Amino acid sequence: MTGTPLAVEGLRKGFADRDTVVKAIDDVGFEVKEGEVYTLLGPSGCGKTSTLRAVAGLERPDEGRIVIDGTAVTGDGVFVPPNRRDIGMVFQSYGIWPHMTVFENAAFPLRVARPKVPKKEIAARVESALAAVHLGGFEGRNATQLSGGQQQRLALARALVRRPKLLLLDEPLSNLDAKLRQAMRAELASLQQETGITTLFVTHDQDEALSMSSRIAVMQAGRIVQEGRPRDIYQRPETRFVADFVGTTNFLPGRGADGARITTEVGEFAVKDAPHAAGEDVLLAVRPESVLLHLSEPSGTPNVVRGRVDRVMFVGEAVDCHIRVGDAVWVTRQDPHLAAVSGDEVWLELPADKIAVLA
Amino acid sequence: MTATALREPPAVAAEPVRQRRRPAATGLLAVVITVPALVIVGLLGVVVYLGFRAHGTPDGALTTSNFTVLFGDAEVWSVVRNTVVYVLVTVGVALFFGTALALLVERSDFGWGRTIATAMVLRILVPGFFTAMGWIFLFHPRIGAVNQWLMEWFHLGHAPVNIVSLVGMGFVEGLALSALVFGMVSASLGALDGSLEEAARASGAGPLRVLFRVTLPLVRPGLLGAGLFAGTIAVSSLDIPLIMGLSNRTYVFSSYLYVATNPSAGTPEYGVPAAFSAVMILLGVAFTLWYQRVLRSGRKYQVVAGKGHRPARIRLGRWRWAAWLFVGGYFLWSTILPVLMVVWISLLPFVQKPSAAAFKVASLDNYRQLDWSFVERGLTTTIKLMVIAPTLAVLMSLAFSFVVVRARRRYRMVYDLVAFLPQAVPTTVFAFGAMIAALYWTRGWYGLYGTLALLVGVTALVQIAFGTRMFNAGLLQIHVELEEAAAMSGASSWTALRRVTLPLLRPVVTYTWLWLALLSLRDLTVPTLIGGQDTLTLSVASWTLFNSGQVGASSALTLLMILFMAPVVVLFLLLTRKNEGKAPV
Repeated sequence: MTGTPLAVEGLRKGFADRDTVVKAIDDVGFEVKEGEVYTLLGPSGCGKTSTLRAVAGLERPDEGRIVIDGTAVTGDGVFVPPNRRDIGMVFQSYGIWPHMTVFENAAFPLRVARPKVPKKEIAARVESALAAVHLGGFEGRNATQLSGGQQQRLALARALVRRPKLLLLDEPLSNLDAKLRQAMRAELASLQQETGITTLFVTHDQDEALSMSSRIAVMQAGRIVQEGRPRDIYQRPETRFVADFVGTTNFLPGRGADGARITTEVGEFAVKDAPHAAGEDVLLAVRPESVLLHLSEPSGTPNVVRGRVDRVMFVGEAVDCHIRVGDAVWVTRQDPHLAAVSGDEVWLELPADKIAVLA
Repeated sequence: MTATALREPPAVAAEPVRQRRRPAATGLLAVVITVPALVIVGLLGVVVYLGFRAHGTPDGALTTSNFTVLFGDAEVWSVVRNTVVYVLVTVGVALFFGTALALLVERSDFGWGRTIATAMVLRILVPGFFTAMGWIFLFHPRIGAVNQWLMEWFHLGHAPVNIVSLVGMGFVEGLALSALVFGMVSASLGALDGSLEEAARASGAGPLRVLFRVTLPLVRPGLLGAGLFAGTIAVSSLDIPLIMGLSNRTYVFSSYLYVATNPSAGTPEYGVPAAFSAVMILLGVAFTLWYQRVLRSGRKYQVVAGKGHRPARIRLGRWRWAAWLFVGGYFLWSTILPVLMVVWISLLPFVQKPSAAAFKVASLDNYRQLDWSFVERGLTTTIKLMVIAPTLAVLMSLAFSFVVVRARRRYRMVYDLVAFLPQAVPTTVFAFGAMIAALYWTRGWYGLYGTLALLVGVTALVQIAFGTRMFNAGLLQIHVELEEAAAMSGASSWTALRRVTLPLLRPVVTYTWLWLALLSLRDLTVPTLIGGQDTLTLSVASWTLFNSGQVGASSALTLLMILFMAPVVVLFLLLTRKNEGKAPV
């Protein structure tokens, strides 16, 4: 009962594909702290699911160590099978057994547990687990009579019923429709907070990752390219890939001038902290909602660039204003009451503290 | 239609429609398949009708005495008992070996999946009477080589194994059908969403518990289907019961019907066999209805699943040797040794176990002395049968399946039921009905008794059951929207069928045709029962030789037959390699 709930070190896994070896996981390492929701975020094929499955013991990595709650489960010549790991897991397709009732599904982890769990305790724990996911009263129902969202909740109850040290979530919301997904996101987050269970979460959905995580690791081609709190990942992306994958970003190539200034094709910009030496090629990244739009030229404001409205797209809670600046088209998110129309001349202000400078 | 009508100016709408109206595809096909459907029902009707006639002849007096005799006959009851034992052993053996091998291939890291799958296809194609002969040469209480060796080594007074017993027959038939079970169970396992099993692993269940609590219950519909298929085929098949049971008078239903209709002396008495067959028909129809209900309730097992991926494979680790022993032992005893024994016996003037002395007298005499005109006749009939029957069967099955899957009327279920009857009712009953019908109701120029046409027709009708199972599954996979898109592009239902559906279905059609051709080649049931000068196929020729004691010659002929099958088998394997996952049935 010592150490962090989950520690992964130097994980590697390759798949033979014809004559080449594809590195699904390429030296991945991270630690998850008690009670945290740690998210692996990345596009499909980036190795996030393989990493999760290695933690679950469903896949054997070629190299690396995995320690769950102080017990080495993979590495040093040890491989603990999934059923002996102190985990609960929710699968993308839920894995709800169609030949069992709702109760039987949720009770399964306790039924197969060693040492045996007394019947009374099983009934009580299943009942409370089902109640926690709002499935109380569904016990006798056939599992296949449940809707997608209900199956999802049942999968969650089943994963939590034996109170594992670690909860593994493999894209649990991706099979739900948009509305339900948002509701489940909030429900999942509050359930996690109530139970305080340490969670490893895999998703390709940036909104899910940003809203639910304590920390996020963005993965690309089998590696973790950036790790940090959601705000850092979003506001301070370290690479173009991260900036591009997490949210929409406007990129502007430039060159470091002196200290906190960057020269670009459309003018010079002051930035808050430019760690890069003068004369070095850099990339500026600005989020659409960070760009301020002025219909008349503001005076005395730094970091302003002139552009022309290309199109205005109404998306409900906002308008996405596409502005042509030089040869590029920038996307800015503005108040829906914006008066600008296509063809108008506008001035864009890029606040210095909202500009990320990438190498 | 309404939308266009609203938008079209009235002048255009008023123009006379010159288009010739053709009946929709499903409607016309439904009419066409009425003929084979009626023949299937008619043949069974004939048998039931004969069951109520004295001596089972159409001109006999109307009577129920056949049934009274049937239920009072001790011999009949022993046949019933034998059949039950034989079928139970068959199904048990087939399910055990087929499922174990399927699990090993699909769920463990044993490997060799493709090799085992190919070997299993080859196993199905080896005629049943071929392995039966091999097993007789190995384990017959008197002439079986293994028995003789065991008796010599351990100074036993009598043979330890008697393969020419009910259990022995069931065991050999079960080994033969295990290949079929393997195919069906593999397909079910492959279609199962892997996360169901992984969820159980992640819930703390060990591999064995996952197998018994999750995997096997979930493939239960597949297991049930495989068991039922193996059971019905066991009741139908005549080859193993004839070769292994005739000499010691151990009869099961199929061999009983054969002996009753082909007595060695006196006129055949059809009454009781017809009554017995009528009971079998009743059981078959009941079984069909029950099976269709099971299938329907089986749909509730369909899960809302994402991408169905294979679950993590179970590591065999230090148990790998045991798996090798199992797989190796299975193929050695089920195929390799029996085949080697048949090769060995084909080289000898009389049956004896392999030894140095016997090796000295080995020669190719059996091959040289074969009556080649006899063989040639058999070969010609076989080729005709294996080309025409599958073609007819494929055409009829396509029509049946198209109506069953695509028509929106309620009668489609009736067609599905009729198409399944040849599977549920023993083939021997169909052949019996056809033989009697041809004998009494076809005369002169349209006389069918003992003709190749009758043999081909009955074979094709019986094969409809298999064909429709394949095409039903195939058509269900072709989404109806593809045909609707063709209709929206202006194609008639016939054009849509010809230009869209059939091309998409072609792999299944090719596969089914080849499979049926191979089954026609190895079949002994229909040709033996239809019996006639024109219907002497290679398999019948081989059986005739065996039955008249020319065991060496029979072995030689059987090997020639296998040789003749080889190119078709190779073609089959080459074509199925591209259509992986299309398991038989």
